[in-house]
Parts: sequence; C-alpha cells; structure tokens
Amino acid sequence: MQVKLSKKTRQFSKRKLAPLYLWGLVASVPLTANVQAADTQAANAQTTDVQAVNTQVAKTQAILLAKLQQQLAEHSLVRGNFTQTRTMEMFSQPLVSQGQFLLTQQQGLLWQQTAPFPVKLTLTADKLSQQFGDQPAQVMSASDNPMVFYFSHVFLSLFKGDTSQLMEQFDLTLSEQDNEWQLVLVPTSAPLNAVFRNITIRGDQHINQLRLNEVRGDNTQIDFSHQRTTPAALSAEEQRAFQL
Amino acid sequence: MLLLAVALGQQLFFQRSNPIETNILALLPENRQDPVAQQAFDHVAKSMSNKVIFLLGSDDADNMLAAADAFDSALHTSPLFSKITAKVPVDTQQAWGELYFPKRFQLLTADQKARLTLHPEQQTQYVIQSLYNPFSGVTGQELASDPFLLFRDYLSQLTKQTGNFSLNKGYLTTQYQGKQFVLISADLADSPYSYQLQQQLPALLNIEQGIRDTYKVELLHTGVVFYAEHGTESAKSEISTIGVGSLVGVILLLLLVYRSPLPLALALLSIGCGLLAAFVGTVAIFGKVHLFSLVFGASLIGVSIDYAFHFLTDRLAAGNSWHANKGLKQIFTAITLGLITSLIGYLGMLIAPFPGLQQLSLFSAIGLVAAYATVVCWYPVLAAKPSQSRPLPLTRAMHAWLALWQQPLFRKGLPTLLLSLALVGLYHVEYNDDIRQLQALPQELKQQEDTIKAITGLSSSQQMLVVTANNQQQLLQNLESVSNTLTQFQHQGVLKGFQSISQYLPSEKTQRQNHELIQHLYQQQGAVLAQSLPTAGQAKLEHDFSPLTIAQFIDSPVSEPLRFLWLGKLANQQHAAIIMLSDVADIAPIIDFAEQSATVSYLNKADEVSALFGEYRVRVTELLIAASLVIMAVLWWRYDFTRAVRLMLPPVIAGIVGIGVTSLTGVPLNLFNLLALILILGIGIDYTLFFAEQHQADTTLLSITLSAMTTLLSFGLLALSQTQAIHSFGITVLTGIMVAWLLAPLSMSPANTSSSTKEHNA
Repeated sequence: MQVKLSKKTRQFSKRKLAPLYLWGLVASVPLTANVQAADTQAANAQTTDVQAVNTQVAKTQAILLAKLQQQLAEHSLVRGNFTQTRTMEMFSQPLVSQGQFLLTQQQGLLWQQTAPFPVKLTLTADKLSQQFGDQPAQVMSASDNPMVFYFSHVFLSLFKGDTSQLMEQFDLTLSEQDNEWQLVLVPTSAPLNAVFRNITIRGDQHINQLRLNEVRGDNTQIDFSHQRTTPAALSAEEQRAFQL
Repeated sequence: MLLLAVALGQQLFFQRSNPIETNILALLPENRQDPVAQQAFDHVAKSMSNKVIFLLGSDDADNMLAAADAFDSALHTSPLFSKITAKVPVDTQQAWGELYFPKRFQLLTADQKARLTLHPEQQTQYVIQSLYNPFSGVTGQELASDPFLLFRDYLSQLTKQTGNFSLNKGYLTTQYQGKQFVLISADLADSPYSYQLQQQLPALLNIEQGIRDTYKVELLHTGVVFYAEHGTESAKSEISTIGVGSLVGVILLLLLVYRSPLPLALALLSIGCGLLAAFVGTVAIFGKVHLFSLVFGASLIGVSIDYAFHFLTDRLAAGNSWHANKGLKQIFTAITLGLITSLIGYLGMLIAPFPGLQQLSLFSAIGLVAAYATVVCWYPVLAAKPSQSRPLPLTRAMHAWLALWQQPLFRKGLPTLLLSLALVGLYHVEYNDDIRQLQALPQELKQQEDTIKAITGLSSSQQMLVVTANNQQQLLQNLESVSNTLTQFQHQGVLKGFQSISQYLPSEKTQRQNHELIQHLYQQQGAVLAQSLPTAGQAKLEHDFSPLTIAQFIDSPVSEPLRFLWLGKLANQQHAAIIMLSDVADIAPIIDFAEQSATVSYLNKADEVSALFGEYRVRVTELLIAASLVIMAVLWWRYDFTRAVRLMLPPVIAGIVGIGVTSLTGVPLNLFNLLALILILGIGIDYTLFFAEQHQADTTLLSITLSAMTTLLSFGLLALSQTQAIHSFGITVLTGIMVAWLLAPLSMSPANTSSSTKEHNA
C-alpha cells in the first residue's frame, strides 16, 4: 500500500552532503562503531530466512503504519501546548521550556516558546525563522543551510508522524498499550545512528509525546497537551508568520 | 617515390602513436606571458579535460537510484575510464569531520569572527537559544565537545561551497524543476584527444541508450572528449568531402577534356605524390600532422594539379607534332616561376611562430614541390607518345573571351569595376579574432552542457587567477586577501562565485587569530554561560594551538576535487595556486585588480590566444605585402616594370575582391582569410605568369581554366565546412581565384593575343 507524498514532504528525506556537525561527532567517536549504510542493511535483511517468515508481519506493520499516517494527516491543522524537558548529563537539572504550537499540513510548524524566555520559531519546508521578543526575525533558507535543515526536516516528519518519510532513515515498530499507540524509531544510518539510540512517539488521535534518546544517555522529551483542531482558520498573525 | 611510400608505411604502422593530431590547442603557440601561466593552464586543462560528467534524472527517486546503480556497473565494463565516481564511500563522507573536527578551535567563519570581536556575548545567547530550540539538533554530545557551538557554522559554510547536492543512499543527488537528478563523474583513461579513446565513444552511447530505454530516465553527459570527438568526426568528414569532391571533379574534367586514360593516370600520379610527400614530410618534421593541416591539405589537390594541366594541354594542342622534352621546355619557365612565387607565399607563413600555420605552410610547400617534381621528372618519360589529334574543346568561347581583352575599354573597365565593388566590401570589413570560431560547437552538446550547468550549479569557466608567493603560508595568505576582494566583487555583481583553496584551508596566521579569539571567548563568556545554564562548571578551552596544515588537507579525501587548484612549487621556486572564477559578468575590474597586484595574474587562454590571432593577423598582412614586393622584384628582374605591374595587378585585385566579398556576406574576418590571400597571391601569379610566358594563348587559357575549375571545386567545398574559420576561408579563396582567373589575360600585351589567334586559325 503506497501512500502518496506531497512534493514538499519529499524534500525532507534528503540526507544533506556532509550532514551536520554530527559528522564531526562521528569522527570524534572511535571508528570501531562501524557505520553500516541503510541500503546494505536492508539488502542483508532481505536475504535472511527470518525475514521471509516475518514478511507477513512486516506487511501488517506497513498497513498499520500507513493507517497511522493517514489518521494523523486527517487534521489539516492542530493547535496545542507543549512542555519540553531536556535532561543532560552535563547539567545538574533538566532544561524545561513551555509554550504553544500550531501545526498545519500545508505550511509547517509554529513554535511559540513563552518560558524561560519568549521566542517564536517558524519552520516550513524551505525556511526557518527565529524571532526573539520584538527584535526582527532571522530567516534562514534550506538551500543556504542544508545542514541546519537536515535535522529540522527529520523533526518535522516526527512531529507529523509521517511514517513513510521516516522509514527512509529509521526502523519503525508500532505497538499499542493503554489505548495509546507507540512508535519506536531506531535510526539505521549515519549520522543519526551515531547520535540517537532511538526516538519514541506516543499518541491517540494526536501525538501526545515525543522522546529523543541519545546514545550517550541524554534525552529530550516533549509533552503535548490541549490539542485541538479549532479555530480551523489561521489568524492574520499566524498567516504572516508562515509567509517568510 | 618508393622511399616515400616506405616512410609512410613506417609512420602509420610502426609508430605506437597516431600521427594525426586532433587537439585544437596543439595549433596554438605556447603561452608567451610567463611559464607560471602556461604551467597553470596546462594543469587546469589537464584536470578538466579528462573529466566526464553524467546526470541521470527521473521523477521517481528510487527509479533514478536503480538506474544509477545499473549505469555505474555498466560504466565499469567500459575501457574508456580509469576511475568512476558514483557512490560516495562512507569514509569520504566522514572525512570532512575527521579532517576539520579536531581543528575546530582554529576555525571560524567570517560572521563568527566579527561576532567574537565585537559582541562575544551574542555567541552565549546563541548557545542558550539553540539548546532550547528543538529544531536545532544540538545534542549533549556536541555541547560537550564544542560548548560554544562554533564548529557547526563553520562546517555548514564549508558544505555550502560544495554545490547544491545532497546524499541519497550514497549518491550525490539534487532536485531541479521537480525532477530528481543524480551525479556520476568519471576520469578518462587517456587523453580526450586520443583517437583510440574516441573510438570507444559509440559503445558508451549505447550503454547510455540502454539505461534510458530500461529505466525511462533522462541521461545527460558533458566533457571535453565529446567535443573533441565531434571535432575529429567533422574534420574527417570534411576531409573526405573535400578530398573526394575535388578528386571526382578533377577526374571528370580530365576525362572530358583529354578523353584518354593516360592524362588521368598522370594527373593522379602527381596528386598522389604531392599528398604523400606532404604527409610524410610533415610527420617527419613535426612528429604529427594536425587535422587542420589535412583539411587544408586536401584542397591542395586543386593546386598541385595545375602543373600537370599545362603539360597535358600543350600535349593535346600539339597533336602529332608532340615532343615530350620540347613540350616540357616550353612550359618549364612558367611552371618553375609559378612554383617559386607560390613557395614565397607559403613559406612566408613559416615566419609566424604559430605551430598550426607553420605546419600548414610546410605541408602545402612540400606537396607543391613534389607535384612539380613529378611533372618535370616523370611526365616527359611517361607521356612521350603524342596524343590523338583532336581540336581543343571550347575553342570558340575562349577566342571570344580573349578577343574581348583586345578592347581597351574592357581591359580597363573590368578590373576597375571589380576593384570598386570590392572596395565597398572593404569599407565594411569587420575583424573577429576569437579563437572559438575555430571549433564547430554542436548545438546538441552545448545544450546538454548548459542543462547540466543549470542543474548542478557547477560551472566550467576557463577564467582564472594565478596567485604566487615565496612560500606556502604566504601563498595561503595571498589567497585569503584575493578571496576577500573577490567576495566584495561578488556583492557588486561582478561575478557569481569563485573557488579557492583558502575557502577550505585558512592560513596559519588566520588560524592563530581564530584560536586567540576563541580563547578570549572562553575567558570572557565562560562564566556567563555557566550562570545561564545549570552546569556543573565553567567551560574551559583545553586545546593548544594546533593548525590544520596544507599537507593534512592535501592528504585527505576531502581535497580530492580541489587539489588541482594547488600548483605547489614551480620551476622558478615560486609557490602557486589557482582561483577559478565562475559566471563573470564584468571582467574589467578583475583584470584591473590583477594588474595592480604583483602576485596575481589573470589568465584566460581563449582570450589570450584570440589576442594572439589579432597580432598574427597584422603580421600576416605585413608578410603579404613583403611577399608581394619580393615577387614584384622577381618579375621586374625578368620583365620590364610595366609588364611586372600588369602581372601583379590581377592577383592583387583578386585578393581585395576576395576579402571584400567575404565581408559583404556579413562574416567577420580573421587570420584565416588573410591566409587565403596568400593562396590567392600564389595561384593568381601562376595564372598571369603562364599568360606572360605563353606561346599559344588558347592552350594557356584552357589549362588555366582547368586549374581554376579544380581549385574552385576544392575550395568551394571548404566553404561548406561547419567550422566558421574554414568556411570563410573557403569563400575568400573561391571569389579570389575566380577573379584571378577572370583577370589573368590582362598580363598579355594586346598584340600578343591577336598574333596567337591568327597563328591558330592558320
């Protein structure tokens, strides 16, 4: 079952040349952590008998994932609140931030942080803007900063639950517990697998929690609350924010 | 003759290398500016001309990658390439990080430098904001190794310079107008001008077509080799067209006029000897014959046959009273003088230190001498038997034409009329010395190249700056300062971009400054950062200064596509590097800047050679005048002054008409049209000499008519060439020779004409 992707989301899967400072990290890690390319892994997997047995399971998974993606994409617009908690080994306590978000299938994501300091972030397919207080917004374009956008695009896919997009870089496992679905994503290729052990997404009608677990034990958890699909129309200010 | 044939066989079969040269650059003189420029140009030309670029495009990324896989393995079966770059190996992907990451405390972008100098507190703000920003992808790992998050911006800037490509399953891919494209490049196993290598190209085209058919993808290619092969092919077809065309023409003429096999065999013998000797002689002297010489050489057929015509026409006219040796004596003075004057014309070109011209003139001169020698030595022996008695063809028409020349009005009127027409054309003369006219650029290849440029953002400019210094570090510093100027030019829209080693490797001096700035930042802002975040302690810089060296950079796979920019140490102990310029809108400020700087020189081979062409054009004009004066002197010594002027006038007018008419066709003139003048002078003088030396006007007119026809045939075919330069050369010769033929009877004294006519009627 194929899910048709829009042109816009298709761009997100690009693994940029020299992707990220993450490469720098990979270089600093002893190279015994042998990085396997995703496609060779897939190729190897296909030749094993285990895979053959699991084909049926995989098919069911694929159908479920496609369904999940469809379900999440049904809402062309979602609003809500977020609480982000970054727990890092080097900090004695977690970094917590709060605010509101607005996600639309068409334009992208508005991320309005209110605490500990106000900042307005806008992320679209090809632009990223940051605005602090009443300073003028700083806008970056994807074509100028492919590395910055590499992760932003992954993040946006996670946020939308765009499973067909995420499959290009992660192994996906979908399960269900306590009336919630949970999706565990294990990165399959560099540079992501050098940084993240796994990423989990939990939700029902909407996504309720996103958690990024880093290899070193640090993690970032974002909890969403108060998700709603109204008002369905963008306010003038929101419109402006998306028009970068 | 036998010796020649043996020599040819030896050249063709026992030499490993092909004696035919197809590289257009081989025609050109070495760079006269300075050895540095020449070395730089050779270096770049070599690294560029061996590259072939392929682009596969499809609406569907998976299909494109499958096609790329198949194409990659198919290319590996081709003997064309020494190296194919399709998938980027994982270790190359990591090489950027491996090279730069350990040196991160010596590296800053220009923006970061400004920020750390003026507002270091902004960097602290940036760190805090990025930490809270979920899209920024800052991890604990990164923060631990780079507390001020400086390296990510540097790496980002580095990769920005690598064009608009991203990695997809190891392939370099990009998007263009909604289509996905993948880039595959390859290095040729041999020079793109190697004939053996060019022979393999059809097989490559088959591979490409197979991929297109199987995967329904778009597949584009570009590279010097495709242009070179097209040049070889078009030259080959032109040589055969001109050669076969003039040969067929000559054979038909001979059969029509002489109606017997012997003259035909004799004529072919002298053509064969001429071409064979020319080829062998040129290879012996130059080691190779350039295709260009061969194209022109093919037209030699029409010239070398002239001596044969005079001999054979005399034989035909004499009928039964033919004595071969007497016949030769009669024309001996004329053809010898003709040869000498032609040689003066050709060898004049040898003076120009232009390999292409030298070869051309030598090729022609040897060919003429051999053809002449064949007539003088062999004809009396082979054609001792008189021919069947037959009236000369076209006698009536020729009589009428010669009778016209009796009219004083006509004698003065026709040359004046032609001259005044030509002067109108001369008034409109335009010169264009651009060397690019020498190459026929096929539309279809040009289009592919432009599409590839648009999709990849790569440019293949030939414009570059060469920067020199006394040592490596000084060179890197010079490169940095030139780059600063170029960046300003970029903002002013003078050029779109440039490529310099300094964009990837800062000089040690700059790295030291960066390290100091970063040290300052840690000292000043370390405490501020520690207060804003719940850290256990303050970030300290525990990295001593340890610069990234040129050796480390050159050794890394990262520098592979950039290494050609680094020339290293030259013969004159200077160190040099190249900066490639791309999409230059206005070259003037760049040239000005280079002229003002002792260590920077601007280099554009095409422009330089074009300027050289202009210079030689002037020089050839001088040569022409000198050659005319020398010929005039020879004529004056043999005849009286007025007669000499009468002999010189037709070829001179013919030359002016040739140039005038060519400029009237709207084609700008170049050096080659002036070379055509040398030919017109040489051949035109032949015509007037034969008339002056004749003892029978109508046989002379017949043989001149025949030789003019063959010449027109061969050069007329040159006018069909796809190459602009050859085409206009053809037109000039065509009109010039026609006028030279028309005016040739002017060199006879009026009485002469009537007497010969009477004689014949009796």
